[in-house]
Amino acid sequence: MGIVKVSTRLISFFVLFITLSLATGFALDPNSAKTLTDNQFLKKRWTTEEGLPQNTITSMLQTRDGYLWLGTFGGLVRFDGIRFTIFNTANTPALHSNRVMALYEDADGMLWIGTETGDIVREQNGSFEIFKTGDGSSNNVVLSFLSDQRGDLWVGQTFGIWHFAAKQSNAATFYSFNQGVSSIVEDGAGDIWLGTGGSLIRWQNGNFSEYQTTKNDNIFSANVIQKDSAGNLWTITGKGVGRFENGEFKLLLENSLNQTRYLTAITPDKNKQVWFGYYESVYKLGESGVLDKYDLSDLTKGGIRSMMFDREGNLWIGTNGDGLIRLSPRKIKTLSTIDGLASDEITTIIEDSEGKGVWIGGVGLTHWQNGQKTIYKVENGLPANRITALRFASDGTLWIGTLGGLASLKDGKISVYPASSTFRASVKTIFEDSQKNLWFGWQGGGLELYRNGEFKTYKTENGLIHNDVRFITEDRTGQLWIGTVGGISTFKTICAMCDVPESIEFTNFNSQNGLSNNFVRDIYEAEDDTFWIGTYGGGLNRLRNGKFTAVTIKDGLGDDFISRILPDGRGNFWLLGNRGIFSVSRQILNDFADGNTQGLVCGSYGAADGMLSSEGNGGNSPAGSKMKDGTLWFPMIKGVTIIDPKIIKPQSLPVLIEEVTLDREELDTHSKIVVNPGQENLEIHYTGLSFSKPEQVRFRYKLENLDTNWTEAGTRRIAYFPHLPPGDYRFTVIAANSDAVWSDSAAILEITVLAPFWMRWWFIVIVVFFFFGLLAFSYQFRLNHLERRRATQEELSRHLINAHETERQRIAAELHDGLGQSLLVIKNRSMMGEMSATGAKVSLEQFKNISEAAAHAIEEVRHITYNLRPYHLNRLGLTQALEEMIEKVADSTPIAFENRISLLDDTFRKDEEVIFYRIIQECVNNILKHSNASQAKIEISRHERDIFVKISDNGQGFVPKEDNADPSHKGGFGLIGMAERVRMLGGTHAIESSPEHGTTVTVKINLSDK
Amino acid sequence: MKAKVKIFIADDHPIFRNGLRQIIETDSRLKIVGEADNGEQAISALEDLEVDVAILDIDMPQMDGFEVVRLIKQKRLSIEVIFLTMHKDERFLNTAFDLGIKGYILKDSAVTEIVQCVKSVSEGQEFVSHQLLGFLINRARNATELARKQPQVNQLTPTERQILKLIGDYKTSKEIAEQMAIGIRTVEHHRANICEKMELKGKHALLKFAVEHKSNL
Repeated sequence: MGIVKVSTRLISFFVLFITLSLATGFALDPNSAKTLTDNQFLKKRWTTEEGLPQNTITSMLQTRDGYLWLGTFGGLVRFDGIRFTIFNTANTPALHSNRVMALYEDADGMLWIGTETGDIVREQNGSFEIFKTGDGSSNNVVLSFLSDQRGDLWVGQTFGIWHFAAKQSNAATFYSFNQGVSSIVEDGAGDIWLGTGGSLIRWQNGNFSEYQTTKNDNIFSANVIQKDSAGNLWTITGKGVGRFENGEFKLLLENSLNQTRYLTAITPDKNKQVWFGYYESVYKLGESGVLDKYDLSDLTKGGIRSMMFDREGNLWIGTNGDGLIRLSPRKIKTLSTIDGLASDEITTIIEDSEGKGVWIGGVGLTHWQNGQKTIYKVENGLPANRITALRFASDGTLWIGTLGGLASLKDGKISVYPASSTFRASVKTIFEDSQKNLWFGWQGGGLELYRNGEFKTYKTENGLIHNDVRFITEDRTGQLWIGTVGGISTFKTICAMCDVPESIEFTNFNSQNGLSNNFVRDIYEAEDDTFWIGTYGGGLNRLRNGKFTAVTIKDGLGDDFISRILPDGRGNFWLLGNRGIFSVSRQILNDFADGNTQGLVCGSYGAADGMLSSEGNGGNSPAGSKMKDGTLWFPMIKGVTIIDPKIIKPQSLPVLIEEVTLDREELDTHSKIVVNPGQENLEIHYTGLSFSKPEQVRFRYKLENLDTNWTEAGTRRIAYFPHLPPGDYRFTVIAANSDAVWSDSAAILEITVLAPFWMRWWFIVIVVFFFFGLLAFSYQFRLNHLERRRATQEELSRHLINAHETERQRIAAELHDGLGQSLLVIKNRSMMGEMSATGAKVSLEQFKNISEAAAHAIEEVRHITYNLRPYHLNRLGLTQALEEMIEKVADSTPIAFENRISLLDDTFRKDEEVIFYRIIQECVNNILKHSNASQAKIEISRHERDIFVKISDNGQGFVPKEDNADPSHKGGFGLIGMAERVRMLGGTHAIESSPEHGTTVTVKINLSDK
Repeated sequence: MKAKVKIFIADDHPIFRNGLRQIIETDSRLKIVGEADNGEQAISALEDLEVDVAILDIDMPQMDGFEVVRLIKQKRLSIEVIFLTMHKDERFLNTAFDLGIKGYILKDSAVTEIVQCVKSVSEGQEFVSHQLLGFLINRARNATELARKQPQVNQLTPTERQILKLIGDYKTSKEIAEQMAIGIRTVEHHRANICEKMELKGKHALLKFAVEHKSNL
């Protein structure tokens, strides 16, 4: 396989010389290189078992978005530390070969992919496209890329190099070599350097030439060339490792083993050190000339194929057939019996009061100073081997609690204090207060004061809350705090000059006061009048202003068993728990306890960080100490764990939306997500790109417009949103790395959930309009219906009234013209007969009688006719007819009528005149019949547009009913008829009546529609 | 010997007309020159015929007696009119007299009064049925009362009185001018004089006064 040959066939032998100065160099056998121990690196490997598509990693790089990209013989792989996302011929049409040979990211963030078949493919924002298709032969395997400062693209291949002007595939020049171009770099001067199978080639002033040193010693015959972050060019040749300085490559490390072996990859790190892989080992060449070797033979047999550092400082190694290896710099140090401690189980740690190292208790006591150790055991005078407590008194005495009793060490001499009459299992804690009183806490034996060689014990019968004392401290006010298995006792310390009291007045706290657990293992007084209490089973308690607030596992604390609280001076607490060591920001703890945040995230450290055991050993005192150099030492079930809190650094942790699916269908993550009606299950896959401990990356997300608080997703990398209500949302996700440092950037996804048509505003508007339309329609319909009914009724009334009037007129005419005339004839005839001289006297008398009877009948006819139909109306007009009618009425009653009637003639049609007349007549008749009035006033005034009638009396009035259609009403048909007649004239009327003010009828008739 | 009084009868009741004719024709000085049974026939006949006295019923089809009288006045036919009617009505009587009618008799007593009435009227005298004399007295009293209440009435010239009456009949100045064959400016002048004499102020005061008192002038 040509490409493999090119990139691996480099150097035959290595004799590694370190050139301390450029003038003098010396050779060093690589076999004598110092082997880096596990204390420097943590290693981890991924293979196809863990999700890789194929186990040979030909090339790798970290793109600017934070992803790791791997070229394999099974496709292109994108890695976020947890998940391998594979792009291959099956799912990526632009890829015609699964054998990816070279990867490169240019200045624009474009990812370039070279395949074994010679294809050049580029990717940006998840979309792939073919840049140039190869001929498929092994002669055109793509080996390397470079986008130079001019923007030109160089592509190294098996037998030469393509030069694309400004990345335009159609303007390309091919330079043929008889060697594969495995690496391309550009130096500061703009020269292009090619590492080839045979020699180092330089592009200068438009020409390629084989590079020779001034000595022309041809030492650079097979090359990998790389540039470090400082711009230095490095090369590995058949002769060794060289660096380009002052215009010339100088050999820093000479290959002197004269063995045919492959040097595979070279990776400069940030510290100007160069790393190279050499078969199954990684070598680090430091500037000082030290060559370190890190053996990976337990992980790879096929050897190293590719190497790179990620931004967090992890070294990634791609192997031939053995998968992907990560070497993480170890942040946590450990000490154990390997380092010379008395035991692997550690119980207590305390720094020497004179700065002479550290005292480490376990099974035996180890004094550790700069790698020198002294061990104290029973054979050295200790009452028991198991150390349970350590404390320096102000006089420099080290007090030692053991399972067998109390001892002290001063000036190298151990003194043992014999057991008193009281029960003494073991001293669990020792404390010297500000008054130089020494206090001992006994497991089950209460609190003991030691002063001037005298012991005095205080127990529950003296008011102590529990006899199993585990922790003693003093606050700034001189109050002593005694932590026991059954709660906390406090009391004012006893002054140095005072007598030892017989009894002490304790103030006690336990779960009844709000403490989450009575088993107290540590009490820490913070500067802000706040006490933090570590409990065994109840997490951490904050005591502030007399109130206990617990923080536990369910709130995000690393453990509910907190044996030690160490502040690091950087705002964090480091907590020793049963499940590991945890770091948490004190500010966040306070925020949580104050209710200002929902949850918290702890940094978590354990075996994954290289600790010999994750389990803290917290039953003794002190269960961990902060040293003067700032490091924190914790006793573990196995070994001492030494943490430098400075490892917690703000770190950029890119957070990305990887995939969005809606009802299992994948959507474009680069544009706004639109959820249509009927689509329901939205899944958002996100990732945080931290490669140190990716499995401990924690996330919180928020869907703005739905959530007010962050959702603590923990390590879950998917958010589910089924059934989102319609609206615009913004999904924001942030991540914290394993140190609980939150990313300052967030991944954001805009989401719009469209309302189904029946929830859209326009539909609602339409529905509302439709509804109101319907309402209006039915109202109108009902109105029309009523109107029609009313019209029909009115029509009927009108018809009745008209018919009535016509009939009256007809009868009146019949009477007048028929009967009346006949009677007149009779009367006149009889009068003629009467006048006739010839008649007998009897006859004359008869005629006279007939005449008189006729006259009487005529009078009756006159009366009836007049009543039936006012003949004045036809002859003299409405005005006079009304006047006549009123006069007639006035003449017949004692009521004083006053009338003012405007000229109304020719105002109405003839048929309307009768109607108007009847209206007035009805009013007048009502006054006559019902009012009992003494005065009445009739005003009929004609105006330009209307006629106004006001008829009032000073009579007894009546109560007008709203519903004057009731025929039983006093007004009876009279008022109904009047109302009907007013309506027939298109007028309105009102009746006001009260006993005090009589009755007033007003009628208004609009003339404009006449 | 005096010429016979030429009489025209308009009444829509043939029987009554016949009876009337019999009575009138008993007097040789009276001669019926024409008859009509409605107002319209009557006015057209009156225009053609030479008639001294027209006896008109008030209630007639097509055109009533009042209307016929108005037309007679309008056409300036020199015909005296007698209303022979069934209406024993003061208002009718006043209206009739306001229109310048000389005779008003009730049909009740036609037999006994018609001949005398025709004769009186033809001689320029007024005649009303004896049953209506009370109304006539009222009328006179009202006129006196008006004169007493508003003595200025006596200052009105005959022309002014006539104009006032016409105003009372709701005539416009133009109509009055036409009827009296005088200029419209003259009518306006008279109206102004009337208002001044009667101390009438305001738009409708003159009309109101005229309507109220036209029967009493």
